[in-house]
Amino acid sequence: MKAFILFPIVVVAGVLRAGAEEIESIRIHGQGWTQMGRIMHVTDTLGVNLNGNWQQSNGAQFTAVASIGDHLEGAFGFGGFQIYHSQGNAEQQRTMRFIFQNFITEARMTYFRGERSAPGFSLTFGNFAYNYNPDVKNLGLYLLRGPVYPGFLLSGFKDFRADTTKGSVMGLHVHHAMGNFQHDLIIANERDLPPTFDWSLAYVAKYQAFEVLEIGGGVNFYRLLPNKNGLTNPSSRFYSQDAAINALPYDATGRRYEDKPFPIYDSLGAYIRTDTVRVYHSVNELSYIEVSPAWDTTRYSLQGTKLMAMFDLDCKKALGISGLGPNDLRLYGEAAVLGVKNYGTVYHDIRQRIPVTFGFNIPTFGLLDYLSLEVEWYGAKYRNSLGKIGNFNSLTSQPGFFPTPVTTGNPIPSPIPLSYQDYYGIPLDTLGRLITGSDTLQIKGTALDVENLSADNWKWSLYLEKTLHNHISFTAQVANDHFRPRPAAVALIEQGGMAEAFSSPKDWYFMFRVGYFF
Amino acid sequence: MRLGLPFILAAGSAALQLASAEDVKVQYKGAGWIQFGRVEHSSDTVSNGPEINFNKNWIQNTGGQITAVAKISENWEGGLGLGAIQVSNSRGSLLGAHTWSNSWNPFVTEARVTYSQSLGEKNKLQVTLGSFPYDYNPDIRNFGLYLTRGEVYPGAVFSGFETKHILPIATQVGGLARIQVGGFQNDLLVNSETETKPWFDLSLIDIVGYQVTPWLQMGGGVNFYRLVPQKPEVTSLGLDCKNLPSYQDGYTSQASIDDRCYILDTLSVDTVAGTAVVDTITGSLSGVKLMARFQLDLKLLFGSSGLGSAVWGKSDLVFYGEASILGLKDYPKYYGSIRRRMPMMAGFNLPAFGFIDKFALEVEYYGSRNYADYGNAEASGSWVPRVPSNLGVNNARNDWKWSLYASRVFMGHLKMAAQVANDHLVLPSPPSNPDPSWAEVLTTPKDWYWMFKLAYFF
Repeated sequence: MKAFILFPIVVVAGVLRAGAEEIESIRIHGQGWTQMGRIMHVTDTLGVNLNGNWQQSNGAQFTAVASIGDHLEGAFGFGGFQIYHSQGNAEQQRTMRFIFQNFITEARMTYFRGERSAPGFSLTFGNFAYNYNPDVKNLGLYLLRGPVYPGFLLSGFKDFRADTTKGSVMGLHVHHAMGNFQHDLIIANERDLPPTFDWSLAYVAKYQAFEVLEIGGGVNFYRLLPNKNGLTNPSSRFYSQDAAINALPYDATGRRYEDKPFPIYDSLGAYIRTDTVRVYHSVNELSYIEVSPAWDTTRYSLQGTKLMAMFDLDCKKALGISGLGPNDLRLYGEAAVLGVKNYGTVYHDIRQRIPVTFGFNIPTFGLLDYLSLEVEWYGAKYRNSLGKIGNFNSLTSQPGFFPTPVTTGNPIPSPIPLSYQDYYGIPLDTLGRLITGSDTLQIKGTALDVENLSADNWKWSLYLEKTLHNHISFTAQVANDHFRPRPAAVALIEQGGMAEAFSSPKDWYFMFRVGYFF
Repeated sequence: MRLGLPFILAAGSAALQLASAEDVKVQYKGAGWIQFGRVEHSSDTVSNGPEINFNKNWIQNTGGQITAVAKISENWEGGLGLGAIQVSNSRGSLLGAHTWSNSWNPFVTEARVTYSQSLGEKNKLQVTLGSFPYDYNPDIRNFGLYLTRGEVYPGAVFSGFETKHILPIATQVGGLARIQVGGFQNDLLVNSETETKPWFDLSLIDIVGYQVTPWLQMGGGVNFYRLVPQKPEVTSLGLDCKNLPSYQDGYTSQASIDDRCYILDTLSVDTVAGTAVVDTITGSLSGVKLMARFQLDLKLLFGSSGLGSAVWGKSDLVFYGEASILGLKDYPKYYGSIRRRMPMMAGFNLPAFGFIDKFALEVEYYGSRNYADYGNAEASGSWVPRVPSNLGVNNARNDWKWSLYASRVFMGHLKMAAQVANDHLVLPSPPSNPDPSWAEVLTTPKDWYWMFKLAYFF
């Protein structure tokens, strides 16, 4: 907090001094791209059938970087890209819209000591890019992207948060480097996921050993300073939201149940009698508070602490191999703990909150700049859908009957992941089946299982990139990752999709991009 | 505040000599404009809904764009840019006036890379990938360009005042391979459809042009429109239109599901038995377009440099024209005659002797008997044209269209343009209307509007 107070003073002092000086130079950087690809297979087609859907967008951005005196740098820029809803089917395609999504590339002031390109010390304030692990092309960077409870992972082709030309953090960044050691302190404002404007405090340290190995680690006290505590830590006034489910009795196996009456009729439709059927409810149907069989109350929170460890090993240097491209044979990896605290029924096992990713730059002998294979394992047992938190960049949850998620029952973002009730509108029967109309679907244990989903534990991504003449880039990716398409639907998702498209190992898509930058 | 002014001044002065990236020379092109005009007469005040009466409606918008083009190497060039237009809804009736609103429509001017390879003097090969502008007939001010804008079934024709298709704004997403040998040029395009729904169908287009003599240029082309559909069952609906909502129920005679995504053609009627034989015809939004065009420079043909002491302007006395076939295949009822699917236009640059850069009179004939809109395609993904509820509407009265356009550039960077026309203008609906409008505003010979534009560009 001291830095937080001191920083504006330093910046203002520097700025005033710079005002008396001259802007030495302004450099303009630009980037433009067109990309397209296709979802080749998705397993879950209950909401929108995205099989065979083309994805397409194009965009451009400009950034001006000004050198102001010897120790200050300012940058601002803007950009926009056109995105299109996915088509779905003939009925849904008519509601497709294109959206132009504007963004600020950077809006920052940086005070630095040492070299401008690699300062020994710097303070940055504003909207800026920060990527602690530039090796990552798709999977990883979870210390600073995505929530804690629930531990939803975010990734995708050319995700903004893995792009160092786009400001992904709003707040403060203190950087210090000393020899082979460097560390960063980040104070970040949450802008992507509701509830917005909470402040997180993160610290990342890295050490370069023998020029072949870099190791690092970090901690993120996510939503440490809530904008409104009642939103980040839902208070007891939302108990009524969960009261009905919490009041249900448990059976001998610890499952909540409800004996529901149902009438029995004869073949002619005449009433015979009313019987009861036992329906089981799950903890995921709750939103904020869970009451255990012993009447202990667990209050779920969106706050949490993340930990991260990473490494980057340059195998060609370690083995003394020459003649390869500068990025070839690099092995890198990252593991994170999304929430160090075990609590409640939902978050009782820390092993289910540890995503582990590995990447390897396959040698291409200079033909490509990158050919990166990334693999991830993450054992969370729930569907990777932001439905109960809210939409990307938007406080509005989807009032949807199409695609099926999510009911608007939650007055504020919920730290509990989706339930069958949220996703399909009805609970499963005692055999784990979804019965809708005349159809019966086996849900438990399949890729449609939103509460015990393990078919999506493994993810992979193959990324390639080639830059020609320093300014033209060709990029492609084939992956089964955490991509959230924007389906065409009756209830339009204006700002982006909530649910990950891929829920089984069979699912995949490809993307291709041609871009020009200067 | 102390920083503010010096910073802005410094930025302003530096902006003139911006170096951009160190190793490429980036050329910036920009434009900003305001334009306004008025619909002086619009006969149809019913078919789009009772609240849409465009008579005496002012039309106005303002916009700006900037594009950075860099010569990256001897062979490679890149372009990127952004722009935005502020669009105001048309006001419609008094009822809609109080809910009038403005909206911003941002766009990407281009996002492309281009590879060029010289094949000797005047010959070259060029490949462009990305999102880019494309205009195969730069003479056109209003009508024409049928091959690359508009649909096949239904044969909606697009035009208007300075539409994006004649401006440096991306209209194509995909690739362009161009080969130029002497006066011959061949363009092969693959375009992903992003203008009309369903999106992302791929069209394959080939356009040739040949400078026969210095005064005569001829060209032609073919467009296999929506050749590779994203989803065939969406582009060609078949008989499954039961889940499709009708467009503006209440304003169409197709409120029932029949005839909304397929054609019911009555072959015969037995008035005695009270029965009819009806043929069911399925079709597709896909189709083949053909185009032929010419440009004749009468100044060069007759070797004339002026009239008396007055010298012809560069564009004066150029006669040009284009004809197209929108769909080679006949379907009964709505697409029964190929002659009704052949828009043709001719333009002539009237002599202005340098006082006006372009002074173009264009005339178009298009004998379609279908209602001039593409609402069914947009709202229901259907290839069948919408039939307004007023079955008595005479769709033959809009066969002839005309446009008079004038523009002049002052001091190299300031442009004024004006147009008076009865063309294929489509306006945003008034906010009181629940659906967007895809119907033409000008439907009879009495209808017309005018527009004026003031633009600065560099």
